[in-house]
Amino acid sequence: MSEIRIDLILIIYIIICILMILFNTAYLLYLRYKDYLFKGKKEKIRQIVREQVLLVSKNSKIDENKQSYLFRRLTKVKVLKAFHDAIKEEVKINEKNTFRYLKLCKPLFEYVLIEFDTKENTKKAYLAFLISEFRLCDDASYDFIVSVMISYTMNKSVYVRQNALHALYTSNNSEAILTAMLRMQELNIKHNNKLISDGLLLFQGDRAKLASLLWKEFDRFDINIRIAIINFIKVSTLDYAEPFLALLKNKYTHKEIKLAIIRYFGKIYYASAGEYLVSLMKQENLEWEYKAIGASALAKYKSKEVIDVLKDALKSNNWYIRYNASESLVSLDVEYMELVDIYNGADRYAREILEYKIETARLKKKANQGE
Amino acid sequence: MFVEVVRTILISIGAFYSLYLLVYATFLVISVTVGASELYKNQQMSRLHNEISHEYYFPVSIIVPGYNEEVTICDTVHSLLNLDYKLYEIIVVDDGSKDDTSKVLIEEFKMTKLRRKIKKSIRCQQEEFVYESYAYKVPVVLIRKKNGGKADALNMGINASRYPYFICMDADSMLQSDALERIVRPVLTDENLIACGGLVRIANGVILENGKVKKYGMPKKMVTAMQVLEYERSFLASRILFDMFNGSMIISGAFGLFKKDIVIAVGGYDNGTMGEDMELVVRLHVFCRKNNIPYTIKYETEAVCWSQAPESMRDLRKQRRRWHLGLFQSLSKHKQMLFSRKFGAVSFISYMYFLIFELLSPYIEIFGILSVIAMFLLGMVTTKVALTYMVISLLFGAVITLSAFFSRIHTQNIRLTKEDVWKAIWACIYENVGFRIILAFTRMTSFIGYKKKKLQWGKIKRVKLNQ
Repeated sequence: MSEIRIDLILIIYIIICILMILFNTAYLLYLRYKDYLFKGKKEKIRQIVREQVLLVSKNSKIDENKQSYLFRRLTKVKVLKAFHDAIKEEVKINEKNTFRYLKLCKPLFEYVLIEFDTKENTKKAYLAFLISEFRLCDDASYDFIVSVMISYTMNKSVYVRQNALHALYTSNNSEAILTAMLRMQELNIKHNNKLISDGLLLFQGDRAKLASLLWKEFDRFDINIRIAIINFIKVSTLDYAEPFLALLKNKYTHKEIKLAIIRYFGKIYYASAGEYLVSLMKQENLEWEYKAIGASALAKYKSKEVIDVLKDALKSNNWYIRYNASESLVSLDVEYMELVDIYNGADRYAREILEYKIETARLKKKANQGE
Repeated sequence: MFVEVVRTILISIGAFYSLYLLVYATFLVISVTVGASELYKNQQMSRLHNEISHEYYFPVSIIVPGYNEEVTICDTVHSLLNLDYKLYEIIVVDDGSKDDTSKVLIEEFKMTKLRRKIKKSIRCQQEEFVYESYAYKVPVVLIRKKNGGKADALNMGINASRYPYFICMDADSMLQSDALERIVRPVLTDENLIACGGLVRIANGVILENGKVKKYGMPKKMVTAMQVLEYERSFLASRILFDMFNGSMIISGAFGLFKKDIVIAVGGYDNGTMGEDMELVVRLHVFCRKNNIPYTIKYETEAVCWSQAPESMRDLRKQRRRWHLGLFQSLSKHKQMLFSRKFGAVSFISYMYFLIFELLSPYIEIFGILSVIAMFLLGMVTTKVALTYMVISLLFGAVITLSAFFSRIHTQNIRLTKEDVWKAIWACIYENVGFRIILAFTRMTSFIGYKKKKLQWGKIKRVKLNQ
């Protein structure tokens, strides 16, 4: 009895599998058929975009009838994709006027945003992506698209958030970025800090202004965002040396923030910071991470004292401190005679790591010359 | 009396086998259906730019352990230099090869010997020499060490790596040009991610140009074609479904991304295991669950690595013996996971799946078939019932494999020739008629003589890639 039932169940499974294969085949054919049917509509959209861009390039008014045609249809993802494709083609031919035309399409996208309010996140992410691609966010004090993008940054989908942030970065609206980041902070939305710090670098507007806005609200952010802000300021090579040094010296500052600031001073020269880093390197009971990153940062500060401190670091028990110190000594181009005590000294580890770093530097130089 | 006992035993085995088939079939249908719909969803998301596309990710070390790989190693490194990624390093670890693996690399990439000492965060054999080259877009490092097995070579690579994440990959594999970018993306969407597996596909029959598939076709040899189907089925069956509840218990040694600090914290790859790739992932589960560390182990279906499959039955059987032993070692070493509420679905679904449908399946299948034959000979079942049973089981096996295969093909927008479609259908039938039984027998007998070979590299005959 049980055998018969199992056989029956297996037969049902076989039917399910065959149906899956049939579904795949039928769906594939259906997609092709739909593509075939859509071809005409796609061509029409392409034509409309082309003609509208042409009108913009002649400084004429765009055709309102054609815009209303788009109005009625653009809420469908397929049509949006066709519009996107058409814009991509136009950008290649006439970038400036295509973006001028897109600015005129703002009301259209405002309407699409309202229509998409109840749609699933996958579609919202795509719309945010298009708004970013089409650079539709403005720096006006109130802009509907910007306000929707800010609300998107609080969405639970990482893709909606990321694409909305991208859309904001493409504007020069630093206030909007600050608002979005503060809202995300208030709602405790975790967004990867690398995505935030690298994303901030895409900002098209005044970076110094954005940095100053973020710095004003610095204490309201959590550690990860604060690190992202420091990294943004570091890569933008903005001068925040004085406040950063104060933060570094403050004993209540979080360790990770202090390490990020030390890295900042490894990129931005600030004499007082160099002196402070030397004093850090000399402290005996300091956690090894400070010394390891400090040793790296000192590559920017050539002086007798720095070289001595780095030579001492070469003898550290910690591999990372030795490694970074040797790298900094090589990068500072220290004379052989100044290092002779290391070469002839009893510390084999210090000697080996220094030799290795010198050989590597030579090899890199040779490779660069070859290029 | 004796006959009665035999009859009772046979009926019990038959009933158990039927139940096993039923549960396995149900599992396969559910997983293939879920897997196919998940693939479709991913495809839609990617079409609508629901992905993290980023200019700069984070630096990654690629570790390529090798033993007697002089035929393929240069192609592998060249393919790695073609990746669409900005910041990474390539570390080749020559595990005391007897051929010219190191020599061909040094000559091909004009490498220079350096006096580099490797910091040993994880125990491994001593290095013999280190060569480096900075003449390419990323540094290429060669470390030659005393022979110690694949796990030992990987541990050396981890020790030598400079970056916080590392990729392990086989020396006979090639990454698709976007594979590295794809496999690191999940780290940006999930900060708890500690390991991520890529999709390993069979390179035989595929032509890659600059890291992109130029031509896809079923391999010429039936043994390899059957493996293609097997890979696709198991990918849908145990990878995507398990991924949905953080239950992946294996990341193939051919292509996986790991967070270095946590791998060092668990002691790196286990030298005493043949399936070091699976053992590491299982150990990561145990470590994180025991220490209440939030973690994610997942699969990135778009990160593709093309790997050579054995082309002869001899090599294939060798490979499967190793895999089966590795599976046994991993499961027995971490038997505390069995029926443990602490491990949740990883214990009750993933572990049970690998125990029953992977480790014990060859025994159950062989004994099941033998019992059906014995029952037939003893007149306990009629010819009609026996034949129906067999035909339906085989048909089910073939059809489920085909549906998994076509779902993959469909969601990858790959076009197959008519010839390839027929080949796939034939391969499915062959696989279920003979291939499965031969492999089941191979796995069943894998314990014979394993102590002698337990730390050796599992070698198959290598051919030049991309031919």
